[in-house]
Amino acid sequence: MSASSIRRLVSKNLLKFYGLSGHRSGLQVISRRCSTEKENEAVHSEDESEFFENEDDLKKSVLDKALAFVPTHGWSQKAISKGAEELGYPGVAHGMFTRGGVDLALHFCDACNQTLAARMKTDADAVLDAPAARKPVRSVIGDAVQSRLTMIHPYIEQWPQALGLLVMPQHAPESVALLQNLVDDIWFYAGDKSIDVDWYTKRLTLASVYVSTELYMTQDRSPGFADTWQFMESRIDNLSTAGEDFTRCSPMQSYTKYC
Amino acid sequence: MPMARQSMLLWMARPARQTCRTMSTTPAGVDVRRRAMLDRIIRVDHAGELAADRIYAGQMAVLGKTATGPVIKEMWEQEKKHLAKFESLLPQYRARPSALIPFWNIAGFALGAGTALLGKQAAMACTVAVEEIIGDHYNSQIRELLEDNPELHKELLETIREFRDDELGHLETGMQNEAEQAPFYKTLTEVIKIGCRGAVWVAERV
Repeated sequence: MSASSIRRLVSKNLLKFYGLSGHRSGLQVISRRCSTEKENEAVHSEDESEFFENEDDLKKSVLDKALAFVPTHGWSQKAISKGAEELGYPGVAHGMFTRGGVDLALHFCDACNQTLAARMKTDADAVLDAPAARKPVRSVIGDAVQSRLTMIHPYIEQWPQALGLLVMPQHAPESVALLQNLVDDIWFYAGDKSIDVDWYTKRLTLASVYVSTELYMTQDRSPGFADTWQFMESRIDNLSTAGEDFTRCSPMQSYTKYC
Repeated sequence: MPMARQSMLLWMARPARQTCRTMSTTPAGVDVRRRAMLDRIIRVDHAGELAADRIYAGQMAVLGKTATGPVIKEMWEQEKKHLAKFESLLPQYRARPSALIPFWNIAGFALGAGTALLGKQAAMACTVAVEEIIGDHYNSQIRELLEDNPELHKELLETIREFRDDELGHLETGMQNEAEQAPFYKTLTEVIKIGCRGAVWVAERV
């Protein structure tokens, strides 16, 4: 067994040992520290249900719980602390997330993306069974953007703070990757099969629609975010018009036609 | 329990085994490395087949009405099938197409037409050089896929094997059609080979 796998095993269980096992005495804890890998495994099977398969799962559930505290504490270390306490870990467990609120915001975006992708997949599968119910691409995309933005509503008051964290240069690569995942999922499930530069323009323009609508939404006070949806519709309209004009006068069009 | 607290802090301060980055951007259950590999393979092969299609289009534009026309046309038809196959594989694997598609398009046509202008033999020398690189390139992809998981990539492996055999067939055709009698055969093919290797390197990434 290599050193790294031992470390993994130990780290898997340490939190449990030190933080939270109220029923274990300090002495037991100290003896646990010297425990060998074998013992670790025994302990692991002893109360398996309370352990997470790996560190990521643990982190994810802490962050999931932390989301409930965002309306009161913002996208902060404090919210993560509260989330960890909710799970029965000590508040200092926020130390697992070295970047504090950013980790929480990134996790939220990722979770929302995955929910949306799952939803769109179900819809796309349903259309496969009943092709008559196929919606036009434009409305598939509009609905997707709308339902993704709706997921932000519970945290709308704190969302400007999250946006501020996400656009910081050191976090930009990750938030851009999440945005790219989002628009790629939307186009994929909308049935996009583009194989050339269109692939890039479609994703870039949809990202611009998403981000501008998101910014608009943070300032929107209309009931039910009616203004936001109107804003989004007109952004998508602009795109379709621009797309048509571009295709009409594209020199590539004539080039590919004659070659 | 101060000792426990201290150990926990130590554990927290340990070097990150897995960064948050992979955690936050990867959907569960997707092997990141494998996905990146397939993405790269499909992208470069699509770009390559597109360029090959354009090379033959360029040759046909110049030599289409000569006696060599039918030979080139036959190879071109096969390349069109390859291209169509990879065009369907791109969305299937959700691979990103190369951003330089317009460039490969023009560069391929220019290479085909340019060598064809030097004569029939030079056009065939170009075919020989290009297909040799493509054959090698497909072989190394086959090795990579076999190494990863032959069962999982069965379909893709079959496709690539079939295409590799086609491409090496074109190499034979080129040789039979006096490729070696082209002016500056050695230099010409070497230059084209270097260009192709560079293009493969770029298309895998961009």
